[in-house]
Amino acid sequence: MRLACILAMIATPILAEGSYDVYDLVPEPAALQDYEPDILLNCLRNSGSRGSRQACIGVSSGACMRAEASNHAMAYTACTGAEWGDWDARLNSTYADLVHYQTYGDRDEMAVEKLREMQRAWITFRDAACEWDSVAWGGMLGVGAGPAVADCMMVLTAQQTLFLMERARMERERAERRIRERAAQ
Amino acid sequence: MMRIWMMTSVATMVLLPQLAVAQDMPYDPAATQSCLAEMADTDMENTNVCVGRSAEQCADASTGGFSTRSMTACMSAEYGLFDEMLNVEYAKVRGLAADLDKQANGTSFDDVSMGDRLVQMQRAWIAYRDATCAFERRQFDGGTIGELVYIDCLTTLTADQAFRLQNSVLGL
Repeated sequence: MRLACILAMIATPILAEGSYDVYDLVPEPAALQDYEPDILLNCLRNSGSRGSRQACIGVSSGACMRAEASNHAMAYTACTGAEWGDWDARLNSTYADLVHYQTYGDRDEMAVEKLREMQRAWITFRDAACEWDSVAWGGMLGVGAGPAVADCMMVLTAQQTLFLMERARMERERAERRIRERAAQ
Repeated sequence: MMRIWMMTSVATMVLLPQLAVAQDMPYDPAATQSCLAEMADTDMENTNVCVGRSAEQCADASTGGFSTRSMTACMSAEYGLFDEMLNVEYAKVRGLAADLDKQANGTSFDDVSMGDRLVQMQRAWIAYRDATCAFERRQFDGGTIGELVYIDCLTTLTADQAFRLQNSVLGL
């Protein structure tokens, strides 16, 4: 169902402001036969730093596109949309982890509030940036705004996920230190 | 009229926050600039590896070396470089969007012009930048390290946005 929305976007450029809810467009990764989430997962596992993990953005959708070579724009949008959905799920779980570690032991309300404000502002920015991309690239590609929006959503979501992953790792180390210190007392 | 007001206010917001830069700081933008020029020819997608090149050289040449203080001063200068670049790219894209709006002359699919969408994105970006860098500073508990983290955050996000605008010129 959601995948159908992504495919419909190819024929219908998104132009009306606020006419789409981006979360309605996140396709289920499993809905696309040639999308293999393990390629991305393994890339992330084998990369040691945030910098090298950046290079993982687009690996699963890239392989998917090569396998679905029949219709270029359609494969591009569907495969990229699938990887965006993949990252989106990862972003949600990473965000939950970060809140968990931030509040582990002694609750730092101020830090949690800063995190919430940041994530809210990021969502507004993501939507505005991808809507801008849809009009900036929509006319040029000749296939509507679908590929541009899917690419924008995937890349911005992936970058935010990698950033939060770093911070979650840092917060986990801090939480573990707090526990050790308390045990030593 | 409304649009002119909105664009002017965004341009002003982009210039902020301004940060004090130490006088005796050996900052030279050449390393970052030549890296950007080289990447533009060979690897457009990874221009962000250039961000901080000149700041690193500056810290290395500073009397304070890689101390928090001299690194903060050097990174502030790097921020100035990318803030200027963002303003230049924004003005360029704004001009292109205004031309396209003029060409469309009421024939667009809805009432929202390209110029308005650009302003919306830039406003959302400013709010995102401020919220993100406030979060970053909080993560490192204020203090002098907090200041370095803050200016590093501003520089990275400003460079990303400058590259994003630079890239969207290709689509317009």
